[in-house]
Amino acid sequence: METLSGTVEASAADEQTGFESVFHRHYESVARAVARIVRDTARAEEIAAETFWKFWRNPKVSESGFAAAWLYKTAIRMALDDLKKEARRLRRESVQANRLPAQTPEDAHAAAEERNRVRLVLASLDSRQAELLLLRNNDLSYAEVAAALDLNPASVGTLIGRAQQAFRKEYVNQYGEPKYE
Amino acid sequence: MNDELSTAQWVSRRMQVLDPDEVWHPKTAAALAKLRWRDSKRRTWRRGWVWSFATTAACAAVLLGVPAPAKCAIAGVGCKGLAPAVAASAGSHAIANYKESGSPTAPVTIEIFSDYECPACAHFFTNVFPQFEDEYVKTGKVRVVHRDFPLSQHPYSRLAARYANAAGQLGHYNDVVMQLFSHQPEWAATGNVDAAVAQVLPPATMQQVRAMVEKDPKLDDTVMSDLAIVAKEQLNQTPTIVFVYKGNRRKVTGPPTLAILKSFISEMLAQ
Repeated sequence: METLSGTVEASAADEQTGFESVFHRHYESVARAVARIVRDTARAEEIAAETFWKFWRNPKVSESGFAAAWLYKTAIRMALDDLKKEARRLRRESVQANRLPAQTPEDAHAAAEERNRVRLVLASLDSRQAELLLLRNNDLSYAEVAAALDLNPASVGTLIGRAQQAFRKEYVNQYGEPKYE
Repeated sequence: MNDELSTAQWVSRRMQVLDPDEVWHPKTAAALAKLRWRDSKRRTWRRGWVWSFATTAACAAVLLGVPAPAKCAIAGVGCKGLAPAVAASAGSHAIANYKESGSPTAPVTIEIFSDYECPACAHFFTNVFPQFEDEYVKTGKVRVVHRDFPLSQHPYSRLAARYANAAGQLGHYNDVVMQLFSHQPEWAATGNVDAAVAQVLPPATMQQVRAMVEKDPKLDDTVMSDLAIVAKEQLNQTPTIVFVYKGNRRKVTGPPTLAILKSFISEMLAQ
């Protein structure tokens, strides 16, 4: 005989199994997407975990068929919020990033500075434009970007183009054209 | 059209610098464990007031009628029945420089500022440090100084530091440091530092450590002196590694790869 509590527990177990399957499929790539935006990999993992927690608590999303798009959108939005909070401090401080390419220490510093610049430009863009660029940068298709941001798929290309122009204009305004190009 | 393409390429090139290191892999298992724990906590919370009332009543009965358990609870502090005499004896045999390893005459010293709950520190200590230690510390090229930098957002890192430093005074510092970092997801999820440390210490030593963690007022002295350096040098991230060579201090934030560590040391030694 199946008890009510047994049914609830079975349902919870199914829910957990479904969630864990999505988690294993997407966690690493979502965390890496967040790590592009925030400087600290530990913070990136916190944001990624928080995203999956929201996903777990929101069964409508998991049943929608656009789980990946929702996860990227939510994670990127949270990361951008985090970045905007940090932006003022980033401008004030010259702190080395937590990632150092295997070159000379001077190259590492230059690369860290460039990352800070790109992040500051993203933080100063309109949020929707930053989201478009970051979602596209994570190899989401136009259809997935449209689903994530609730846009008409036919207009995604145009909007991404505008976001790219806005990014370039803002970057050049703040830092000029890069010398090595 | 060409201009649009060129802008797309230009932006794409800028954005590429954001790609994380290929060597960095998010700790999937640890994240999932934390989410499961969070979920179980939520489920417990939702059981309803009747069930909560029953539990509370049962707990009250236990607290009133049953003596305190001999083993520490979640945090491993506040235990009753630990022997103060053991702590006193431990203090008399304390090892002063347990946070240092390697030859005192090594040309380069690295100071590692870490937090026991920091996942990046755990990655560094479990994946990079052992090989670095074999190649540079045990061969006399580098001296290592551990520095505690417990971050305020990590509720158990100070407690973990107390355990490590207590064990250090009894000659088990490295064992406990590696245990804490390699089992970070488990104890960081529950706060049960005690259980994690108990796995690598002999029972008698563990008793001494518990007594020191509970009562030794000087156990945090090295943490405070380490934090004074943190404040003086305006460090704001863990791990931070400070290379000391010929009196100069050079700071690297974030977990470096072995190759990066080697490149810094090679460059210093070549000067």
